[in-house]
Amino acid sequence: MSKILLKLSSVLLLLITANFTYAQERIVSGKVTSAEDGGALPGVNVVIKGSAQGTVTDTDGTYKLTVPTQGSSLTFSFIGFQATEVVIGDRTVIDVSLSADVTQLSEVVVTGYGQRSANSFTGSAVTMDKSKFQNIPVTNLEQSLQGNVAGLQLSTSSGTPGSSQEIRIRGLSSINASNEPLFVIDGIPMVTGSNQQTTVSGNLGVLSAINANDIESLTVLKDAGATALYGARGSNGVIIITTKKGMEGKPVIDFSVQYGSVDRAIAGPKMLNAAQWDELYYESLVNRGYYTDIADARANDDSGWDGVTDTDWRDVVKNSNAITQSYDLSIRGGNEKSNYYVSFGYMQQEGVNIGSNYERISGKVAFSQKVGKKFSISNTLTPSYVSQLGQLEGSAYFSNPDAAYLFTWSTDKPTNADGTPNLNLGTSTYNPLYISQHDIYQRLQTRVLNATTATYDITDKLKFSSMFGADYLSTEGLTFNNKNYGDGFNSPNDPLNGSTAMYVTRNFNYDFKNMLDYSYSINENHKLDFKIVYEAQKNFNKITGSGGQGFAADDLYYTNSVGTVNFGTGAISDWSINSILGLVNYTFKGNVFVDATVRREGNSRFSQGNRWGTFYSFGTSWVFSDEKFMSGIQWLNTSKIRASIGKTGNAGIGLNEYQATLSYGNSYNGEAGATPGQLGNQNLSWENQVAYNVAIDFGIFKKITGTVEYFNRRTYDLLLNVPLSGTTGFTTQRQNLGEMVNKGFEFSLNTDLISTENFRWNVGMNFTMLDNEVTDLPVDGEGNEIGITTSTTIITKGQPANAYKMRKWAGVDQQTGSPLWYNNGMDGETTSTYSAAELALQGGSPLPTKFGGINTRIEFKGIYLSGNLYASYGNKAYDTWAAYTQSDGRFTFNVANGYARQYERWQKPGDISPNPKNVFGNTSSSGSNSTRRLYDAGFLRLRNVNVGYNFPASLLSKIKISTASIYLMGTNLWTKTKDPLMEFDPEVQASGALSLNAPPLKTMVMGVKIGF
Amino acid sequence: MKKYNIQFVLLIMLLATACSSDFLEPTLSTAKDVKGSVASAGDLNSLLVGALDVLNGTTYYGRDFVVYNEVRSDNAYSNGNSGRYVGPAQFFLNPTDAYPTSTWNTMYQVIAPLNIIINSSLEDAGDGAVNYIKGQAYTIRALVLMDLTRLYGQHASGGTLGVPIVLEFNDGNIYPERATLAECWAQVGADLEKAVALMNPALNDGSVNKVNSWTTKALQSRYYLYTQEWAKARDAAKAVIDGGNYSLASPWSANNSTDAILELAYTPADNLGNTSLQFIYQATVYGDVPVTQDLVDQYDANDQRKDLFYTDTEGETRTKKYPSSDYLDAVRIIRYAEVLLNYAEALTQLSDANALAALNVIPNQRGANVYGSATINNVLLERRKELAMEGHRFYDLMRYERDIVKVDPNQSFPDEGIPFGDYRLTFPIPAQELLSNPKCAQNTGY
Repeated sequence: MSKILLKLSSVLLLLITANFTYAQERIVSGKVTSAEDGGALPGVNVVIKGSAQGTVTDTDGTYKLTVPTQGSSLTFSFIGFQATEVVIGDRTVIDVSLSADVTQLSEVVVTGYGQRSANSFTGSAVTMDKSKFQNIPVTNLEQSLQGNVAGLQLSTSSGTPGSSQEIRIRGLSSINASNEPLFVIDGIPMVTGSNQQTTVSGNLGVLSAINANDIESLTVLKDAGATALYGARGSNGVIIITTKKGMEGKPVIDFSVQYGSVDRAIAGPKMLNAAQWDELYYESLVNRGYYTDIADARANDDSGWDGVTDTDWRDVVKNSNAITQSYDLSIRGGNEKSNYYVSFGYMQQEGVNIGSNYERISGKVAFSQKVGKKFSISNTLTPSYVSQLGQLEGSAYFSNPDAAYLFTWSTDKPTNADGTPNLNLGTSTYNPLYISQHDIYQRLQTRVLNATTATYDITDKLKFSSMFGADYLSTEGLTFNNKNYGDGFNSPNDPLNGSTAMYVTRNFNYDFKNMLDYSYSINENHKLDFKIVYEAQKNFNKITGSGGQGFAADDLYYTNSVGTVNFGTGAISDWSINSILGLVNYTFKGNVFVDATVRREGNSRFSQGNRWGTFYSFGTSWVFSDEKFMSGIQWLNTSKIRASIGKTGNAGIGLNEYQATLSYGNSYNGEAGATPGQLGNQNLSWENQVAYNVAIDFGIFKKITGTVEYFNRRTYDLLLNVPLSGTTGFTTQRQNLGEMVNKGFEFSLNTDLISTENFRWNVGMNFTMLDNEVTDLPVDGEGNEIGITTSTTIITKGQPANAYKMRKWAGVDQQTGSPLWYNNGMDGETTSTYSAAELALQGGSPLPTKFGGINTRIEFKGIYLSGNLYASYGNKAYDTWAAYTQSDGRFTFNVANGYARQYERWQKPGDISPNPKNVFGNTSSSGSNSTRRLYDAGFLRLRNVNVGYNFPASLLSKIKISTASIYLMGTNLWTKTKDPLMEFDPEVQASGALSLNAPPLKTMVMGVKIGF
Repeated sequence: MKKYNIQFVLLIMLLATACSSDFLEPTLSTAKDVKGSVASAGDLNSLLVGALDVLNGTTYYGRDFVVYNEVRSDNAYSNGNSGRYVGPAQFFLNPTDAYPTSTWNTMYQVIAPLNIIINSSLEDAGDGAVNYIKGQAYTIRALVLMDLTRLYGQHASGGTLGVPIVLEFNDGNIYPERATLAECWAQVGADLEKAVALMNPALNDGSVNKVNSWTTKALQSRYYLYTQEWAKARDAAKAVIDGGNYSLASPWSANNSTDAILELAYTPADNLGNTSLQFIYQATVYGDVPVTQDLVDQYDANDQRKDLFYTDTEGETRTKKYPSSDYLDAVRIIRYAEVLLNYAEALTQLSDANALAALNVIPNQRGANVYGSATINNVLLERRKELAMEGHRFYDLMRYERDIVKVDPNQSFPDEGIPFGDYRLTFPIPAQELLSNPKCAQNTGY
């Protein structure tokens, strides 16, 4: 629509120009580019100020205009960009770069099933600016979403480059079914998460296959109205990605390079140093009653410390020279009939832990062709190859470097005198210096995405299109433990001689969609658009694996070389989705819009009778600023109110769960056996959600735009893992029970504080308030609620999901040095008997209740500075392994080092101390689950700072370069945690558990972008 | 005309993708629907094999259950090298802990397939095969219920509660109450008797890795010690001894020795690796469970069993039982030496004139000093020496209501020991069970 207007207006302008040409004139030419990425901008209106004369730029962004003498300045304007005025003076070449106009409502919303003008869109969607996700030094593009989209919150499960992230849009939609949003790339739903057999040694997120620099636009759909087209898969929100396509015009070549360093985002917990540990050692023996005093203990016992060594194992496990680098080359071009885009990218990023590395080689070929007047076909092929060298993580594995630095005593040397790793550590942890060199935790992934689209215009008003997407993933995993030391060694008497496990997981997913679009205008006031979509999606997964132990020599890694093959596995699984959808858009007078969809969807995860569900959505929007009665209000720009309601389903559970099965995975003494696999539930069906959304989008003073939005999502018939008496032979059964509500507000605001040709300053912010509450749960035979508990959390009515429930730490008894807990779990009387204290809700859950980001960009004569600050609070994190690292002597001298803050302990009656009496091998339970290990997880983080310079086109044209820029960028540069005890990175995984994963990264990079 | 052709083609395309109805039918590649999967003796046998596979898992006989009964006694302790068994060794467990939870779940997971076998409507074809398998299932169910009753029942803590008795798979009763100790023991006895009746000894295939009719008899000799039916214990033991199928082997013999009555096997492709007994007993990177000096001191200098201990490089004393670094040592469930000891104990209790001779059979064979009198203390001492580290000691002490006394500074429970009747001598019922089963009561003290 807007394109046609553009063409019309330019034709008109040309006509007018012809009429008013004067004799004395000069010719001004130049090129218009985008300030954001330096790309040429075709179709820009160039008008002589004060006249109606002007032109539009060509496909390569150039223009040529005859300017009369009295013309003093030119106005450049283009939809989606800020209009810019330039004084001509005596110049004949004027190059201009236009900045994206963030004060306008974005013109189009990409829904994945086509584009809609933003005004007519009745759902809730956020389109991310390219600068927010391109050339950011992260391996997984979803990492750049944090802080940029209201309502979206990201949890870092692991900082190992390539690891998948956990995304929550508008809170938790489900307790036990999936909470992850759907990713759609070029109209094709993508496989997300990870494609691997075991997650023991971290994971490789399949989205890391995608090169963010190949992406043209990224849109997050949030409410039921916006996601209705995707059915159940989209019930947790949808992230729509469209990749770059060819463009009409001569070939444009872009090249970019980026290089920089990688560090820990925050330092991590400080542990007891050698002298402190040594002092506590002898004291703990005296306190245990083994010796009468410290002198006695020192005389008769030996801590094993040489008195000199003092190792900070944080430094030992860290790769101080870790780098990140990426190189991208792309070319695009085309003519009226066909166009193409071809790219190649390479990225490498080392993790901050020694031995961790990630590499990606990616390519892309997009081609589109018009055949005749009515038929067009396009194809996008995106192959990639990713290699990840990770580590053991997620638990206190002896070989996990993140456990090694918490557990290994400072009294142990990292290396021997000859520089070789010290293999005689006092604790059971393995020296990470040796392990990182000799053990392998590797994943190799090949991903090929192919999307083919054909459209046929049957008549002017009736259009047929067909899309076929194929997504092939092959992931090879190798876990190898060397035979000399570590997990592959065992003991000198009984060497294991190394072990290996290798898996190949292949996943093939196809999605086939056929669509009919029909457009019908009753008259100029009433317009109707219809769409019918039929979709079939199927996924096949196949796993093969083998492993064994006993290698004859070093440098042999695969099952073929083992003495004993001790496992082999092979299995297949599949799932499928079938759906049909009808959609109607009604437009009244161009400013009132109504959308309605109905979708019938079937899923293989449910039994035959319960497979199909019917879902709907209804949305409306009213651009009230277009109404005549509003036209007098000068300060008001395009503004609208919108509302939507919809019902979607969620089927994000395991496969085959409805079936009561005998599992044939067992074997005993060489004979295959069967055991009851799952209880099954023939009645299992869709988890349902009804969500509504009310919003106002406003633009005021031509400088400020914003959105205020209220959302409410009620999930019922939850696909809950209901705890079952273990006496049944099972511990849970999946049932449709319970109800949960997520509701809250989202605010976003964008303002151009200053906007002149040479100086621009933009500030944007978004803020989300979220309230998650479990509103109904199953009850047992006696009418009591069956809460779902872990040792520290509970799912119970009236609380957020996974609310923390545990004993409450009441500090240390001043007289005895014993740990204390509140009897009732809240306040008042205390007890030093752990079991006598009651468990109680401690407020809060792992889910943040308030979060938001502020970003700003200042640009002055081609120099720009941008930054993004992110804040999140209202949630708590649980220190899973503090049972060992904060044990007050129970484990400090045989299993694990203690936090440095353990040094401040109770020593004599009257002492006021945060830590109890330090007793060797104590049974005081001081380290057991309690609020002592529960931290406030609120934080403030400077996520991104970018300083750069765009070279002026006038300078570059002399050396045949059309755009060039150089920049310095940093991510996660500064972090402030709310709780001083929270020494771990506050971006905790969604479960809230601090589980010894590789920490998030801080990166500092320099980059250059050149376009020819 | 052309236009209609194209529209027709499009319509076909649309319909073609509306696949056949089995498009949404999922594949089951490693499991089968329960319905129709239990239809032959072979199917019953598969379930029996499955039950044995769960039985020899880490959280039950594969490791945990054996270790609980050693670290809670005067035989062994936990050095916490890998943080394992610290809680049980300190007699310090919480209902939310993994040990009581996972062992509880595993024990009932063994019972589930056994109940499918026992209640199967499949009739014996006359060759006794189906009945034999059912008898095997009864025997294992008795063993598991005996273990559940010992671990979670309140005998040692002064109560009367046992555990929920589950006799049918998926019978709809998801809130079973705890039966009394007496009811549990009665059920064990009834299952064993039923097994004896069902199993035709002619069908015994000689394998010590599965239950045969002698296994049932041997377990009966153990069972009656718990119910103090001494004459029945004597008779059951005597039946095994008189059967002549077994004889004593070396103090720790290889798998499948003449001494083995039931031992759970592992294979190179199916073993517990670093979660095995070997990994916890030997000086491996775990090696959390060394033995006490007190245990070593019980053996006479000339006792062959004294050689079953060694001192590792860290100076800790360890057992040589379960030594194989390929993790293939079969877990001894019941062996002939125990039957001989059960016999001696029964005779001692019955003041039988042959008691002393029976008690001295084993010391004679092991080159140890013989006993001068048949007393319960001597019986317990000989049981401790012969069956050390095989998961018997704690319940031998509990049967005779002995206190747990601290004999080694490395033992981590309080110095004053744990007196008989203390709540800590019984495991807590897992918190998860209480939550999902309102009819299940917690043990006192937890």
